[in-house]
Amino acid sequence: MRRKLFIYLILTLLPLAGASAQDVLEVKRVSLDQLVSFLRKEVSPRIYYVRSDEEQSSFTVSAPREQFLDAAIAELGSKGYVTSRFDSSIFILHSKAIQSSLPDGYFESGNTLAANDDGLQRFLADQNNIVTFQNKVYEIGEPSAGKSGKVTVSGHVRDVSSGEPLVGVAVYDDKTGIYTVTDASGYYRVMLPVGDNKLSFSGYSLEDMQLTLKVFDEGGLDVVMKEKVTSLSGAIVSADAISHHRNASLGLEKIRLNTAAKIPSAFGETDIIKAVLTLPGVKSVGEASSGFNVRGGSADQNLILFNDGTIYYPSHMFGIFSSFNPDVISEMELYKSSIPAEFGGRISSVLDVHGRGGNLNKFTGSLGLGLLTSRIHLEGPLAKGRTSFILGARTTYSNWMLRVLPATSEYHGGTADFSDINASISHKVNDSNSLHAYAYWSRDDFAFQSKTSFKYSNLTASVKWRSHFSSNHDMTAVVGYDRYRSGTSDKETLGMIWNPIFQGNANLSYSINIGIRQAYAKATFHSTLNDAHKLTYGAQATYYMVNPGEKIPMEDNPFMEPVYLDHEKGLEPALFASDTWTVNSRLILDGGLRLSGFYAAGDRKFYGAPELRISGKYSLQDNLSLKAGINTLRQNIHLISNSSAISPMDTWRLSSGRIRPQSGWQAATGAYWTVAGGKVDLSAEAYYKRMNHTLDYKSGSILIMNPDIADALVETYGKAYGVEIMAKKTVGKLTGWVSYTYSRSRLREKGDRGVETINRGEWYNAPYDKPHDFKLTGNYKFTHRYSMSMNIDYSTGRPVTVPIGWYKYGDGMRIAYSDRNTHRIPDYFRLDLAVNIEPSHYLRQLTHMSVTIGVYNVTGRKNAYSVFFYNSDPSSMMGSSLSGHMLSVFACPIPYINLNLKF
Amino acid sequence: MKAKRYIKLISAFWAFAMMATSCIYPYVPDIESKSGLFVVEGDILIGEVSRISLSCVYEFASNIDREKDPKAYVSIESEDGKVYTDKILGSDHSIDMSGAPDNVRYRLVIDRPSNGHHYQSDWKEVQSAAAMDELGYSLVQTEYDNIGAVAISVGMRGTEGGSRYFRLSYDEIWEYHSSHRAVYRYYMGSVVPFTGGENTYYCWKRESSSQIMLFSTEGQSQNRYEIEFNAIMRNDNRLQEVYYTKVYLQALDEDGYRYWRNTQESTGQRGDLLAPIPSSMRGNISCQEDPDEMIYGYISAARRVYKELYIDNNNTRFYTPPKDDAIYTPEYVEPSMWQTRYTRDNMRPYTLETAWTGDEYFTWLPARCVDCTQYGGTKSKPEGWPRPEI
Repeated sequence: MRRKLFIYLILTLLPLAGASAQDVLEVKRVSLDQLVSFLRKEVSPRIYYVRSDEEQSSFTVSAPREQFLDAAIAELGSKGYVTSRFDSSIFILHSKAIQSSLPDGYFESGNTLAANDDGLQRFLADQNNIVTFQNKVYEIGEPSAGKSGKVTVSGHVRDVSSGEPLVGVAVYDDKTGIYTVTDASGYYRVMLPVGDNKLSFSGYSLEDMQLTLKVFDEGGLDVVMKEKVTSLSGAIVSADAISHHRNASLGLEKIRLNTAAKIPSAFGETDIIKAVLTLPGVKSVGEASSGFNVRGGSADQNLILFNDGTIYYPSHMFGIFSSFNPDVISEMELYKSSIPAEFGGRISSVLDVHGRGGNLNKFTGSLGLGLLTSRIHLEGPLAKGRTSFILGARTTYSNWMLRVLPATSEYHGGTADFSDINASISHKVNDSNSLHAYAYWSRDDFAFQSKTSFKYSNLTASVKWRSHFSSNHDMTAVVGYDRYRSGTSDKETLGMIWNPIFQGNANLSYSINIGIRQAYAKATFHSTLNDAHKLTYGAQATYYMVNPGEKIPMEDNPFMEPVYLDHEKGLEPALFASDTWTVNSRLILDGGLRLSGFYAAGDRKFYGAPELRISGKYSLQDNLSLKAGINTLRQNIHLISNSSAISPMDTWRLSSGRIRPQSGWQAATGAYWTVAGGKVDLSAEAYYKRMNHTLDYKSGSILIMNPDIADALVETYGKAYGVEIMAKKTVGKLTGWVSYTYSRSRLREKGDRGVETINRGEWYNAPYDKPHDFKLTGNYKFTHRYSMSMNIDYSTGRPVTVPIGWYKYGDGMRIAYSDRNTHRIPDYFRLDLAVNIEPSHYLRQLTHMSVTIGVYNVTGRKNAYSVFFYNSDPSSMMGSSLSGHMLSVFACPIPYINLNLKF
Repeated sequence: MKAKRYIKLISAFWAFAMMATSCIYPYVPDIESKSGLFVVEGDILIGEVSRISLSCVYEFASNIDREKDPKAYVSIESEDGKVYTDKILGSDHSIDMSGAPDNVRYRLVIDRPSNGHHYQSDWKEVQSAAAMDELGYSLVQTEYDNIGAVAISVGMRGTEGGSRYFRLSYDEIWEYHSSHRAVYRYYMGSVVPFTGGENTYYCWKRESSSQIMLFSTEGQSQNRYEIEFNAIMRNDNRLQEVYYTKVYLQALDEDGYRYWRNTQESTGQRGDLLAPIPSSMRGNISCQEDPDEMIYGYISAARRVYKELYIDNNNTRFYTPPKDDAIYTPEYVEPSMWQTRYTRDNMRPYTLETAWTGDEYFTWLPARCVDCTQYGGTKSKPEGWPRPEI
């Protein structure tokens, strides 16, 4: 392509070189460099320009020689370039002009700045505290302050184009070991010694910045960073590498949305939950299953937060899509081991998903078109620079596609419908205070067949107040309300169950509804006591109202009456405090305490216990660190399930007089080594985990609409252990990670119920126990426009309870099953490939379209979801008519295409 | 128009994809079958003969019929010290409980000399009998075709304060006939006429419900139910002549209901995405020598009630012959080929015809046309059958 352009240019320029003054000069489709070169030759040698890194525009100018410069300036102007003249020199800059003189009366106007002054005065004022480029020495405080020792420097890090806060940007100094990370509002705070300092800012997929500071006193320093577009082979240290060696957290994984977007998923839509599943130590029971399992914990032991609201069912369409609209997501953090003291309520992990704040500067949006879903989002300023909004919506049209299935299809009459809406408003009250309001709603409605349908819905709404009391003390306070509702409607009749050829009298039709409502308030304070201690403390309270079930007759039934199980209520208060103690540049210790309690209102029972969060890091070298930690956790809301995957039929119960809180502890250690000049992070983490009072079900127990649910459950002990080895590369043309995990997760019934005891009281495999797990997720960027993604997932098959024989009983053939989870389905393997095409980087273009074309499960492997036997000939009473089968969810390659349009 | 065509194309593609991707495939897991586990089936039925079957779990490949354990001793003990002993009837142990009272608890006791083990069920209270109000039938539409079916329904009510868990079961006997009435039969190398009731035109077939039919009135305002529990397609030969059903209703305690329900659900598992994980549930029988021995079966004590029903097609005219019945033309078979056609081709004599020459010859038809036993029936007419003339 370049060669063709060059030849075309030569052919175009050669005749022009010899053109006379009277001739018309003409250039066609030349680059900026070529245009300036031509202008220097033909018009004036004193033309200076700064080419934007993203510039890929081509220029075409045709005019008589004396008018050619003006025509070229006009053409440059149409592509966003501003031309300034000073004496006989001409300066060409993108989006900004050279100010060759101060405004009239500048010196008389003092330091006051008119609120509506968008001109040079504002520009100059802004330069004092907003860092936009590195080649400058920034002064913090007044030289006359006369301070010594260390002072606090704080500020916000924002995106250069949208003004959105950037979360998780590492702010550090290599020499002194100073390190912090921006919070959800993009805020950072560091203690710097008075005098000359270097401060680096590094975030995933962002251009690194290294600033030179002259610090005289405490003060603010806001920084804007831009997305890394061109550094295909940059030799910079990754943000992950910095994070590994500068904090004491174990098992912390961060994924930004643009990373998740490169990971192929079943129907092409960017999926945060599927991205989480590519991480070591995270597993699921099957492809179309909601939820995930972290380090041997069950799915309900993960706290999934979206803008502080709890998401109880994080998937759409029984697990095919995640509940999170990728257009409004910024990044997510998964805490697998070192869970900060400010989080509690689950004993395995915390998945904290951050929504984006909305563009403060201009209205933008995006449109996504997939083969099963579509989505749209809009964002922009309500008050420029102060208030922004973001609005996203998503829906599927798979429903009407299912209607075209033939009547003989197993899914005929089925439905699969979902939609979700996100909305948020952020308002900057002043430099120290900001308010944020978030709302999220989702709805799913699906049925495998016409007679039974499922539905569930998530709703979260919260208001957050962020305040910086002083340069070393800030607060985040949030109040919110979450609601989760699920249910099933069953139009089945007994006649249909017993004899499927006719409808029968429909006196069994009912709907069952289950729900959770919770109101919460939380205040978190961050305080930098000195350069060695960073304190986090606060309080949290959550009030739960759980509807364990209500059964409503759907059709006229003279005998059936609605049944309402007693609602459960409980209050979960907590106080927490933690300190990050930077002993020296090599040793960092984190210590946290969470005093959590739970009051079960129904039984008037109170449970309380301290939770410890301790971890430490010691760096043997700048690029080699060791970490260790232990934490304890408690959980008071429990998923009651006897299915492999989370089902909308599953009910949730609170701790009560008969159901004790789950508790657990995890000890972990890890080694982190950054190699290849900072491009590759190697890590190995090992953990051992114990879980107490986890709940399993008695064989044959009825869990739905059971008023005495405790009678149907048994308490189990759990133990899980494993080693996770990962190599991760986040910079350069090739990015991605490869990991291997060996882990086990086993359970044992706590009590002795004689012959009823699960597997005779011996340890048995948890349903998500998959010892060997290999994952590879990679993206190779060939050019700015083309990249290719690959995902490989291999794991041992999950444990299942299998048929071991047959017997005659009740005038029919019945199946005898093994002990619980003693066998395994076949190993799982999947390869996904995708090609990502970004057609243009033209900054002035109104719309930017990207296309993802991929194939999920390229090899078409029939991965088993379940294994079962059934009698293929019901009239037969012979064992030979029983045959083994497996259910495979995605049993062939699934091609997909996804269009994303940004405007 | 073009867009519409594309939409149709995409729809068809995804419809296909949805069908193709989520599929059930034959799969033979590497499972070591576990045979020999003890299975005890039956209930303590007060007021009638209790039949207890002893069998075991078989390997999947096995087609062994129910294993008999004739040396086992089966008895029922009552809490007041009475012991009711068994008689072997076929493969079952039968214990006459016709005079047993309702107001004591009972348990099943099994001694197996074959392994030296003694087994006992838990003590069980007799679940009060429910009342069956009516047993009726009506014509109903079927879901997938327009043939229609005869739905059989029962109305029942539990006793005041009694159990709200029930199990329904039924026995069926029906009289049907073959499509052609043969006058002759092949016997010892000859074709001889049928005499008396020897014909293979009318047969009787017996079946019992193989479905586990459970229901509960828990959560209902009244302890009663009206259920269409069975349906017979109008082209089913059950309706061809006379159909008889005897429907039993038995009250269960909650544990027994859970056991039967688990057995029902575990057997019907198809590996659905959201289905409960199947499991075998221990019943209420335990081995005295080895408490960890897994024993399948749940023993309930109950007084059953039953109702009977006849549907005579001569009156109702419900039966609709299948449209796709093949028509066979009787064929002449050389006497020398009789043996061959009888054994190799499964043909049977039909009628004696006279040729234009005056010669007589026997025509033959496939056995399924003239021999009703080919459909599983027998010539054993039930006692008291309403058509004594057959």
